[in-house]
Amino acid sequence: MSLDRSPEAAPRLRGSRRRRASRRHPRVPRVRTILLVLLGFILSGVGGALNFFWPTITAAVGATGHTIQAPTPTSLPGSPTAAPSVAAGSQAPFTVLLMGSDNDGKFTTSSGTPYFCCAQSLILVRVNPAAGSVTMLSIPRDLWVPIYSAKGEERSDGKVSEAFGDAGDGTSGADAQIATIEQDFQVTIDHYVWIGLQGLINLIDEVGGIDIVASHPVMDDNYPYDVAGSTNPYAADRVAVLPGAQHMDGLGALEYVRSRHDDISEDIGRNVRQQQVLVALRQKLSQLSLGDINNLASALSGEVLTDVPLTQFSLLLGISKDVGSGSIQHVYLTQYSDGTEDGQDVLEPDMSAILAVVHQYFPSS
Amino acid sequence: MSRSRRLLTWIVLLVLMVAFGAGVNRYLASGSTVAFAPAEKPTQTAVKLSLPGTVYFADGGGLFALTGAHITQLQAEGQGWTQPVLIPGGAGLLAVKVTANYYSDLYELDLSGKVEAQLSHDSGKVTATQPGADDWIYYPAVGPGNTLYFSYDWPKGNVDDLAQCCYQVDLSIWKTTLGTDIDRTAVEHSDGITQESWANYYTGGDVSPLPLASGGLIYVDYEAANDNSEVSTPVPGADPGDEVSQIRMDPTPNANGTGHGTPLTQPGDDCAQPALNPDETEIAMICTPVVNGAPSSSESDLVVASFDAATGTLGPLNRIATGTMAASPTWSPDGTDLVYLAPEAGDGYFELWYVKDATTLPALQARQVTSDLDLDGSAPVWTP
Repeated sequence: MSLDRSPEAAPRLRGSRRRRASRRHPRVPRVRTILLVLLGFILSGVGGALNFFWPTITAAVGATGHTIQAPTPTSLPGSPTAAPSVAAGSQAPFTVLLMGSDNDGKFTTSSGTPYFCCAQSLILVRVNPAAGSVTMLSIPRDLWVPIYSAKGEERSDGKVSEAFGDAGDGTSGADAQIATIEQDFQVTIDHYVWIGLQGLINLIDEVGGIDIVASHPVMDDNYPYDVAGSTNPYAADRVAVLPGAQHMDGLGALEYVRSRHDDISEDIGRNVRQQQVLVALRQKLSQLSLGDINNLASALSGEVLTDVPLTQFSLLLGISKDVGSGSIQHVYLTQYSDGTEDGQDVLEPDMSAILAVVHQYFPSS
Repeated sequence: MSRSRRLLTWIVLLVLMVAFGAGVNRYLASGSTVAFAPAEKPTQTAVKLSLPGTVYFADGGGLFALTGAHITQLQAEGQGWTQPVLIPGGAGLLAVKVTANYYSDLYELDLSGKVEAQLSHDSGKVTATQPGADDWIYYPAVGPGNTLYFSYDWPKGNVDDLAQCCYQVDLSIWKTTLGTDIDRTAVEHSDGITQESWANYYTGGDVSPLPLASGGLIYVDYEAANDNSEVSTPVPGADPGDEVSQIRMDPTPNANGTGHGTPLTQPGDDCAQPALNPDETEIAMICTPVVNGAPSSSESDLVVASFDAATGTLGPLNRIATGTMAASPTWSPDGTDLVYLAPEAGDGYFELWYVKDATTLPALQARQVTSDLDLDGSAPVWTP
């Protein structure tokens, strides 16, 4: 076979090659182009989503996934093993310590160093996802008990809430508070959530307020005026929350849960109100959707700390939605008497009676 | 394809990519829950049901009048206005103006909302360390002969001793004549003002006075739910820190010196916020239901009961609206229908609800009157 190499034949050959080339080579760039365009759209979409969730991501990196430093409490002879944590992602029950306190370091030592006073609210929550039930147990903040360091070493006796303010060992207050409660109440705390006063205000405002039936007039002429820009840590304010059903904003709800002076039941009355607000907040948060998370994260920035990893939040929210208000059990400790220690009014606990109540609802460690 | 067309295509694609990213961002943002949205300002669009007559109500610290489907602003929001009540004969309104975290004062207004007079002066030159110098006045009510009843936070404990100050602050019910100047000094020295009820200390005190035509008084007190010294029968299932309310009647207030009256409801009923119909034969009130064997902390029922003012007896409690957070009932001018407050589904803001023929059983379904407002929980006023 001979090739036609005549000058007339050359353009035919070139045209034929060009056609073949246009059939073969441009296809690769076209596929590449399509992939490039698709990638561009995907990257743009991811960028848009990242931009939206950026406040959430930055807040979450700072606020979640902390590791509890407190060691496992000393076991009681013959006590059952504590349940596994929510991190396992199972339906197993778990225990969360909720802590509320101020975090503005408004008090200072004699040397002028800011220190945190104490936890204003301590609530142990037992969640049983399989049963769809929740038990909330309030620990009176003035209970006089041994205080432990974050490393689990007994330091001195004090009000149980003081452990948060004086962790020792350079560790955070939450760890010492957890260690103290685990050792004194012989329970294992799987997770903790701490929220500051302003954080509670922001959270409730962000969800549009909560519905509360105030059980009685909550009156207080010596309410601490330490949020909303106050610079005097000892300034007092007046509070009057009138009784009955009402829609409360964040500041109103904080006043409702924090006031204690004109309450015939003293701290227990406040504990009842705190649990009431938590239940109302849970009801509102159960309506949370993806689009709210960003605003919520911004509102809580710097006001929440937890060891619960971000990946477990959807699980917790799911559990929260599954628990009906009728499945929430409220427990209050009353097994104590009034006393005086180191010149301060305290609650002297009957620990054997208290442990019997605690271990009815929380497995002993 | 020419180079310029190719370039143009890439530019268009890039713009589309950026728009797509922005779209994803906006789509996520649009997913915010409606339930978390702020309340609207009162407007005509907030009215879902027209009522006969005029209903005066407080919203966001302002005062408003609802006539048919039309809402008129009487006092602007954000000023602390609450608890409007009608002066008998319809001559005007009384309302409380709250300066948050300090004090409240009582004002007289005409029906267009113009302030006619300031009736109390409760600012006590407060300082940051002595807030007890201020006072609260709440729950005004005008009875026969222009008798004015109100709740006032006096007496309170150790107010002159800063070290002990300000722990016991309970509302008691006081009486004077409409127009008398009210302040701490006048109350403390009973200068034209008399104490009608003696609150249980550290309970928050006595509220919601309702004058009777006979000169008697209905009011609400608060008691520790499990304290035998305060409640006749400890409330089953109540938590240690719970308080309950009782509606009481004192046929001759201040005459027997006890100031406690006799109970119309039982501690376990936990009833409050009474509203008397014009001929004093029915009382609407709010009572706490028992849920799972214990008083609910998240529900309150609207209840109606017949009432005999002569004997001070109350008939069976008929629950008109349940499974909600009912508050602050008010009778229609003819005493047959009721309006009350309850949360709207979703956002939880309190709205006005209406029950027709509220004394007829079985009760008719309540109908929602307003939407997207944020009524403050105080009882509205309903005039012809």
